[in-house]
Amino acid sequence: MTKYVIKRILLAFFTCFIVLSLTYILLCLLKVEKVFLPSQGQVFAYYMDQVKRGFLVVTENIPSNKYGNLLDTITLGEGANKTIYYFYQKPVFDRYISWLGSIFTKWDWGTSSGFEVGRDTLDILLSRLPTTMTLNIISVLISVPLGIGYGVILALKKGSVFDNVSQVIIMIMISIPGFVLISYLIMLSYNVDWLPSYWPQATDPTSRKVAAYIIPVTVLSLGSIFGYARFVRAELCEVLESEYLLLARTKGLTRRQAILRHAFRNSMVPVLPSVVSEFVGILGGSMILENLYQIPGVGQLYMAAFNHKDYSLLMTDMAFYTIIGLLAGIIVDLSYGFIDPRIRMGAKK
Amino acid sequence: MDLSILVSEWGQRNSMEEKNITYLDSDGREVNLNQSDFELVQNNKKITDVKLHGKPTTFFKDAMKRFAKSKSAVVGGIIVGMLVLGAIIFPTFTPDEGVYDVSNKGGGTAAEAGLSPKLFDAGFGFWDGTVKRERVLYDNEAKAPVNYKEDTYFNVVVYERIEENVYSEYAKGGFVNVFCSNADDPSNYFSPVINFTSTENYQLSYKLSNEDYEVYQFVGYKLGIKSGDQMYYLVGDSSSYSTVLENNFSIKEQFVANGYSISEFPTSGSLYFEVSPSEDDEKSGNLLIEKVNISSSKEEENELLSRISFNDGNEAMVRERDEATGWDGDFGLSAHKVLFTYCDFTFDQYANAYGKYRTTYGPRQLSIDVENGGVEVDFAHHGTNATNDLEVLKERYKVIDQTKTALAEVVEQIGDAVYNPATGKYSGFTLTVKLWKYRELGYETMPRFFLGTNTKCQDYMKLLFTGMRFSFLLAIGISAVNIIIGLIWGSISGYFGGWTDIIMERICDILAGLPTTVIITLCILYGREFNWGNSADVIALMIALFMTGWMGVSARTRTQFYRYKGREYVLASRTLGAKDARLIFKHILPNSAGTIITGSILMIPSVIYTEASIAYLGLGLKNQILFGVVLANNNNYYKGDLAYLLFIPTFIMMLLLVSFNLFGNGLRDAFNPQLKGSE
Repeated sequence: MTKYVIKRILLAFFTCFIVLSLTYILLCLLKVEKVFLPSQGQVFAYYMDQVKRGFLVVTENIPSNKYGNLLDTITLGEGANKTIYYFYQKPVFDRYISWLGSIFTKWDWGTSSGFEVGRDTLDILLSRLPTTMTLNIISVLISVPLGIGYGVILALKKGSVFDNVSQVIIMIMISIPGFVLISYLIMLSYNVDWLPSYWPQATDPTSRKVAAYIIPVTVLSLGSIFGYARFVRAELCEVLESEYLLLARTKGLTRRQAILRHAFRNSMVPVLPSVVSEFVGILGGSMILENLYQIPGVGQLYMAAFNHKDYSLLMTDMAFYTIIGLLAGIIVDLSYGFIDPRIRMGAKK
Repeated sequence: MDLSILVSEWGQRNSMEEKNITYLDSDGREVNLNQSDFELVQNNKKITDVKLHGKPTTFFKDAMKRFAKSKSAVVGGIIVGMLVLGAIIFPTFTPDEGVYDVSNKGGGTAAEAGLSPKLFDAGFGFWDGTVKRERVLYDNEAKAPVNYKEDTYFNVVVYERIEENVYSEYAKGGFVNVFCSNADDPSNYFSPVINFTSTENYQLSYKLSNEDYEVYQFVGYKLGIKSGDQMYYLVGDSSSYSTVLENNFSIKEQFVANGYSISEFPTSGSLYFEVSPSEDDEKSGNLLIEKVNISSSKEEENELLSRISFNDGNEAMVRERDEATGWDGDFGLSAHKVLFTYCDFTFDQYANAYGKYRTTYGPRQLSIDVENGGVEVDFAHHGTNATNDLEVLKERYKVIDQTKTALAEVVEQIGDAVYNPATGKYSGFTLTVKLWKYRELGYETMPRFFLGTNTKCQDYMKLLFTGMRFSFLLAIGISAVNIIIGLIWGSISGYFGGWTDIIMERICDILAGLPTTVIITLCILYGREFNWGNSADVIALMIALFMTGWMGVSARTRTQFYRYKGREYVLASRTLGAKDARLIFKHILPNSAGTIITGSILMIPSVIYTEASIAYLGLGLKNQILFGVVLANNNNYYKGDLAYLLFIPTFIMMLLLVSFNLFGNGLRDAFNPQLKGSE
């Protein structure tokens, strides 16, 4: 088991490394925009910082093609003191090495070049994480018990009218795209006063801030409630028909005992890992929701970075999403083994 | 029936020793068993094959039968079919002009923008091309909402409201509020300059109010005639303010009474109110003037003076900017308690865009209609003289074929029609007519857009279905490519196993490690970097989906290959000398293809979903006519008349995804019953 866990984690690190390297190099190959800051001095300071970090090269000589692409020229001083600085981008591979180096040695993911120029990208990302996480934690806390409970009820009442109607409702609710749901809820919010139609400002009253959670939490949890219900129903139905449950009944357990001690526990084996992965997913959040509802979270940051052509911030956000995805994958696979020791994901036949 | 007798009879016939067993079963019923119950039914009978009575069924038929049993899947299938049919029919069989031109440059006339969906006649209640209008100013004289064409509104509910700080030419009543926010200097309100004739007498009456409201406080006022810089007080004087609210006096008598000599009376000057500042720091001093009436004993002057006089505050405020008759103030002026008439009504947008409108018409235009055979003109029987008698005009100018003329009716004929023997035509008259706008715009009948029009004046139904057609094509194309790649990749990986499998799986792992959004973002950035033209984003989207979309299919194929590659028929074929390619494509793949392809049908809605997501996020695809993009482009119409622009496509999107899911799952369950309920 330990060997398998270590293998999985190492493999995930390897995948993560390759994926991030690929992404970084691909982003590096794109044309980089000049930065916009109020004064020349600030721009100069920013570029010099980039030179220090090993992404740019600066020269005071007449430009030549020796260094590659000219990024920007800065003129400082007047008259005799005038100096022209030419800033060049380092070759892609050099930049990649500098980037890797600063991550491994200083856990430094670079500085923003367009969104909030000069600020640490990881700092920007972390500052936006609490909003996203709060929303997701609330929605997970709501959706997991509700979804599992709903699924259990459906499985126990399998074949009834309630079950059949619920099946159709579940199918429909799962299929509704998130943005449609968001749009309808925002439409609703325009018709009622107490429901904010966008994420409130910091200065708004507390009641409005609390009310602002209603739409995002509904959107985030509705889909997963019905998803869990379907998942749990399918699993529990299968277990309820199994022989060992019949045995449990024959040896004298009541229906309640048999279901609680045997059926429910066993049906949770495939469900729990996805619950666990959902807890990892709380970091990620929904990009569309955050953009439509103007929630200042990680997803909105992604779009902000894209629109500002702030590639270092975009890279950090992409890395964040990639790591979360891989992490969720590992946790799901590993938790299978912990929950049910018979299962060895990826084990040999 | 007596059982014991039966048993004894049977016993007599049977020579063998009888063995009757009788017992009571658990429910207390008596059960009799005897020898014959234990005889073999088909003893000594020859059993041969019996021909099957039913027709043998194929796998496909069987699957269809299972599919038809699932009602939700059938409903889903029908809806999918209808949407696909719509996507083929609507864009193909409508002309590409005017409103029906849904390309980025196209669109109808400005009046055709944002027409509500219309299926039923106006007045039906819903889906009838009407919108509710509330609190629209109502013109009491014309008995109509202000700024709305006739015949475009109905169900008018008129009501009155008293408003603060606003005035309008359609309102009445109220006061002019002359306020004085400065604590030291008085505020003023004055009439235009009036020329006084020395011989005539002038009567002045006015009515004020001392009501305190909001931040205003009435302290007092002065009234006088200001000629140049010289002020002659009539009410109050240079040192004291008056609080008299209603007055009616002769100006000259008051002039003398206030201590001036009649010879001082100015030849011209304006009536001048001076308003005292407030004594309270928090408040502003003010004066509410309801009406001022000035008249002269000379009739000729009264005409102008009556226009300078006003009967209510609203009237004075409306005229404020008029040089000849408007009263004005140097400081604060506002309206108070003006009575507005509003109305709520149902507004017929189609009547507004395509209905009748009034215009003038000459004989030349009329003759074109006559030549086209749309109008019949009969001067011989119904006269030629100018008239506005609608009955006569209706007979004289008869619309016989509405599809050939825009003319709806003639309202008035101006000038007599004179016969010109040289040309054989009537001329010398003009007509005031009502024309059908829709005829002028080239429609055969009054248009009716089932899903309305968008803000770019395009038929929304055609736009949506054109988008859907492109979306479907794109989705089918992407799915097809992905299925093919996935099948090949999965086949190789599953068939060969071992190191090949491990390496191919690791490649998949890495690609799967990249979130889809990241891949799409990168592709879009590169599309823009390398300038892939107008459809750069579509190409980028395709590439992005080609990169990851096949992995699901490949995983499914791989498992199927692991399942089938050890089967005996594969071994048999191998012993006959079949090569790997033959084994893969001839023997194993066809066995699993059905399952894989039906499982992959869900890729179509997911492509549409992805494209909508990209457009919603604003990553790209802005000007493409794709269903998801049309939806995303209209995503800010959350309220008001245009909310249908958001509601309709989101509803179709929902319908599409739900029905595709139902259909796809039903199909998968039908082809692969053991998978039922999973995923």
